[in-house]
Amino acid sequence: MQTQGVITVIAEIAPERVPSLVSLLGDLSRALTAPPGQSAPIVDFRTMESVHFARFAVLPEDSKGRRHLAFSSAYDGPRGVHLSELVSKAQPGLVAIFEHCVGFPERARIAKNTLLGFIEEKSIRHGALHVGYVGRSVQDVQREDALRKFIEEKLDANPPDGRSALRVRDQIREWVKKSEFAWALEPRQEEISPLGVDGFWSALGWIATLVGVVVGGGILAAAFGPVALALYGAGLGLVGGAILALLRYHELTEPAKTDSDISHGFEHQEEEDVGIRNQLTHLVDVKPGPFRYFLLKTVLHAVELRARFEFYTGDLGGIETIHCAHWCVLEGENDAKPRLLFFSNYDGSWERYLGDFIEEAGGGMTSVWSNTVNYPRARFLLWDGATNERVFKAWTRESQVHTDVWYRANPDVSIRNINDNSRLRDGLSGPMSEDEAKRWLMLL
Amino acid sequence: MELGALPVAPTPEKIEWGEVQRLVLSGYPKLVHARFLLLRVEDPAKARAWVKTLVEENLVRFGWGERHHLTPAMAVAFTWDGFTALGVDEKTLDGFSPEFVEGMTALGRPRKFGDTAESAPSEWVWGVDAWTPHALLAVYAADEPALARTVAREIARLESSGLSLLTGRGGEELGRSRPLDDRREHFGFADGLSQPRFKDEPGGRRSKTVHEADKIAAGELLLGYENEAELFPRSPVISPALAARAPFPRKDGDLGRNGSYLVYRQLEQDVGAFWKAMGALGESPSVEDRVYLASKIVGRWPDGAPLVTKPSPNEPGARDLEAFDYAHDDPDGLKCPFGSHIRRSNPRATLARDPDMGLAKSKKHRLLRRGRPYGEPFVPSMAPADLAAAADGGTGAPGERGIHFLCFNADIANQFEFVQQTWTNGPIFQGLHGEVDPLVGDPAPTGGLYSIPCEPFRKRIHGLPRFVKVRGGAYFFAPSRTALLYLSSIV
Repeated sequence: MQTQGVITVIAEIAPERVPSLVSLLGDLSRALTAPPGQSAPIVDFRTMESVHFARFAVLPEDSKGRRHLAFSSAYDGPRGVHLSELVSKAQPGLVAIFEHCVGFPERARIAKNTLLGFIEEKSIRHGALHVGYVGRSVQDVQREDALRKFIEEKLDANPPDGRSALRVRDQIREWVKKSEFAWALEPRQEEISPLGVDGFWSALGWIATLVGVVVGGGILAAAFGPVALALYGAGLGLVGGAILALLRYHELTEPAKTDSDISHGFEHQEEEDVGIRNQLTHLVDVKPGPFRYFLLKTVLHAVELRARFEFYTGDLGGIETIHCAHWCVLEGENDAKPRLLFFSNYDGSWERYLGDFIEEAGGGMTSVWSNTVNYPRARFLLWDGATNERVFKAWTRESQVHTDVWYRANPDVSIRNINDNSRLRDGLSGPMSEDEAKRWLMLL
Repeated sequence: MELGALPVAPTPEKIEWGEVQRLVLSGYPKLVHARFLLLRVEDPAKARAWVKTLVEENLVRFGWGERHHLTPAMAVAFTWDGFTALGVDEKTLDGFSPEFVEGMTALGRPRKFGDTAESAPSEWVWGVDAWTPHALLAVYAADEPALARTVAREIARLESSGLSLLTGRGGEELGRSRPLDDRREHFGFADGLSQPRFKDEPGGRRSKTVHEADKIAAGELLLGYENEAELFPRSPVISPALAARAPFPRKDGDLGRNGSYLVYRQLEQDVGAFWKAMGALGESPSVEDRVYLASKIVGRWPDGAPLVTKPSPNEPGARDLEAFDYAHDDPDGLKCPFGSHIRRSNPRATLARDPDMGLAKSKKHRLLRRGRPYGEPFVPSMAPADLAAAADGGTGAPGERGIHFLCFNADIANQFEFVQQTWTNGPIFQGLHGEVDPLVGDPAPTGGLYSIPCEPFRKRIHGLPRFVKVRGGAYFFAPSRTALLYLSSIV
């Protein structure tokens, strides 16, 4: 089965080597965006078959003044195959980058396994992940787009006569049959399934654990008789009520961003909207104290569950513009404060992306980010917060981080395009009525 | 309450129409002649006194006023540089929205708007560097002599008012306009249809029915009121330092209340190229086929009839040119293509799967247009047949022509900029595969592609050139009556 997932590597940078790393990544970014053939990037993602998205970002200082390099990729799995492609195709480049980091093993310069081991050691689990097109690999996206272009050009050059949609479809199938795209006449092998995202089984594990603990406690209490069971139920209710009260107390007393301190002139804007796809790297301190920390972890688990079991078909609660996005909690090593890192790869403008978020998934955003510093004031975790659009957007801008290197395969295709291309391909096989053929031709 | 923060007042308030510049409320349809004077402040004290004169002499009008008023009228608005030049401090000005502070050409905006190549700010005749305006004085009159008289009087007193008249990069005169018959624009199409309207507009103002879809909350057009998201637009508040120099008459210090952002872009239209391309790229160079393709590009027939209610030229179509929706009447774009100019500029209920939600979303991105054409018409009749013939024969009138595109909104980022970037210039708008607005966009990066949904399969046009070139532009703010008088009281 085709699986997909993300890798996130966080490695501390040797303090004196930050400028050199930033400049190296700047060169890599320029080389990756130069026309093909005119540059030789030290890590050439363009030659890798398993990479949908990849980025490097030198993160701002943590509360102890340390700086970290973040590397993240959105891959076609299995994970091991992706990692070995990465290391085998770009060993010298990865060495040149990661050698700026603390604890980089000398042996990794020559031994691929040691380099792989270093990357594995520094990689952290995602807290919650959304994948936009489960079941379709980088190559699927690429070749289905090429297939559509082929059909469009054929239609432009030799438009078939007549009004029959089925006839037109037959003609298209004929063209495809005689072309390099003949594979498209066979039905798709892969089903779109929630199993297609790495992390499914551990998500299922959490549910089992949670249900196990609550129900197990109940069974245990029941063993001591009905009074114990009633007490257990009441105890659960009390704990729940106490948590809600504590939450509301925090929400009302913590500092929150308001309309009064909105800044301007953020330079990230300058780098955005080159082409149709965009990215966001965002890093913010978790609010101090154990309450917010554990609440955040719990919410991320809940979001991960919804992503695994509900939003795996490319549609994130009505938003059809997010290719891949994930949150990671950066645990504060050596007494640094924990931080929440967010990576997103999306279609269209920043304004529209955040606008969609607010309109379609504002509660979800707020339940996660209201546990971080200075977020616009939320009400009972899910309400307000993001709905204060201008303040939410200003808050997002302030914690946005410069992305030093950003790579996207298939840069000119949106999620909507990818999904329509897949439907176009799927419609080449199997029987169809005239009406179905009519609908299918609308995809062009 | 901390200064700079606005009270989010939950009490619904009556709109103070008498405070709002009349240009926001009315496009002055009877005052068909207009001139847009771009000014720079040379002497702040004198310029502040001039602002007061504009109000006290009843030149800048406020409120709804008389419907058939024929005496000349004006509107005044300032850029961020203009407010600074008048002596408003930075702390107060920081309360304006970031995009107003940063300006139309900052931080990658030209790329996002398609203001590239010949439309790049470096080529603009005004709006950048030394040609950045401080103020806009828009003058309206019912006839040519009245306009000339009024403009001459205003220009004559500029110097003594501490102002200078901005000319273009090459010394050219700026801001002249010229009415075209039947409210057409230069390509020959009816303009100014389907405007947003205030939800709370006083009753009985118009004989025409206002459609639900066009009714929007006051806060979408005016600062100080709730918008469609039930939030208050950000508004500048008088800083303590400024209040010490001159006390603001309102307790809340809200300088922006009853004001509106005015986006001004001067757009040149290449009428010859347009009608020539319609001949070269359509089914045939016949007038009928040219008009057909041009209408598929605009989304309306030249007389304004929408393609949704009148899909072919032989149908009678509906009388009402504004009552239609794509979600119910044209979900597949077979009548009005997804990428057509009017569908991109206002997608109505199609922004979500549920039409009610889609309409609610689109109401957050409306623009109140107040544009006026400039330049001689390509041919006097403006009829498509004559436009096409003149385009082929190269016999159109010489000289530059286009539109002074002006629009009001309360949130530039979420309204003008959103429409310009995500809809007009968005290559993946509504599932399209890499094309931009065929009428006003920059089609070069996408090969001039335009898709027209048809049965049994779509038609595609390739190689559309750019018909509209940006010549200049700036973000202005049109303050309320109280704010204008306050500005003139600063010492």
